Amino acid sequence: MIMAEMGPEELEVWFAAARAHPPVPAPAFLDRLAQDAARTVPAVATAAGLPAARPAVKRSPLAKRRDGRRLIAGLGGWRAVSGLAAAAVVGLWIGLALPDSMRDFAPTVGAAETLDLFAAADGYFGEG
Amino acid sequence: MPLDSFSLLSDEALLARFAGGDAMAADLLLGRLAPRLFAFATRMTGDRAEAEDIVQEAMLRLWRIAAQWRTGEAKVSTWLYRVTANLCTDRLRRRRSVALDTVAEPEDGRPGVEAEMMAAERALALEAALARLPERQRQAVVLRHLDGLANPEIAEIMGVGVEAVESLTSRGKRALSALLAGRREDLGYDHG
Repeated sequence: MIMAEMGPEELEVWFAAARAHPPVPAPAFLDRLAQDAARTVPAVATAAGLPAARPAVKRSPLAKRRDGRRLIAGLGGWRAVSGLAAAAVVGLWIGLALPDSMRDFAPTVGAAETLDLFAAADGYFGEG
Repeated sequence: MPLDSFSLLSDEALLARFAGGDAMAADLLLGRLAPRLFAFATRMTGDRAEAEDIVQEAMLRLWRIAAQWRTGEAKVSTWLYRVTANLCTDRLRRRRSVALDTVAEPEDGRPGVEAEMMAAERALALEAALARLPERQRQAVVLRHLDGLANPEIAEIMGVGVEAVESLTSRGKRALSALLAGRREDLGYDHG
């Protein structure tokens, strides 16, 4: 039996049905594509001569300890940091308690604007 | 940049942002383009797994050349369709030894088919008929009538002139019409 071919309008009904029911990608596949893109970003940005946006990285305890050691070294080592801490405590005590033994100095100290307890440490805080 | 503002950007602008290290731009591009490319590749190969491989490869190629992309030379979507079409062709060539009549057709009586809506059945029948077309005709018909692209863009994707595209779609539709004529009765078009 020979069947008549379809006209354009009839064929369009079939196309419309196919357009309405396209093959749909699985979510897991789309996730894989997104992971590929995320992996490629740094290399692409480097090729473009731009700094890649870095993902937020949780720092390990070891890295945090390393940062602490760098800070202490920058302040002049453990001795300097101990001295700074002691000076801070003494300064706080003098400010709060103003002991009798210090009253004799008060007129002279009061006249001054600053009290330089660690003149020797100036070298650590200079900009040069 | 807020997501709403991102969605107003063109594909090319999003690609430029991706090249600048912005992964969110890639997510938006994927949302726009990956489902279309996947549908196209599935219709071309008739195989979802192969279509996934093809689209994954095409997208990877896009990400890798993002930094060198020259705005104004080609649309991102056109470039991706062309890469996807070429990858489909490579795959189809590799399996050319497979006889045409082993290409899957909708199986009458397959569980659940009867319960599907008529439009879904027509869609399946059309996909099966498309699989029987010569590759270039199938490509032209899918791009024109299912993906809704204009002939000049299809010509760019296929690397031929607009007249060749018109000829391929015209011959493809005649073949489809003949292939589908036998399914009219099943699918409610016996009075068409």
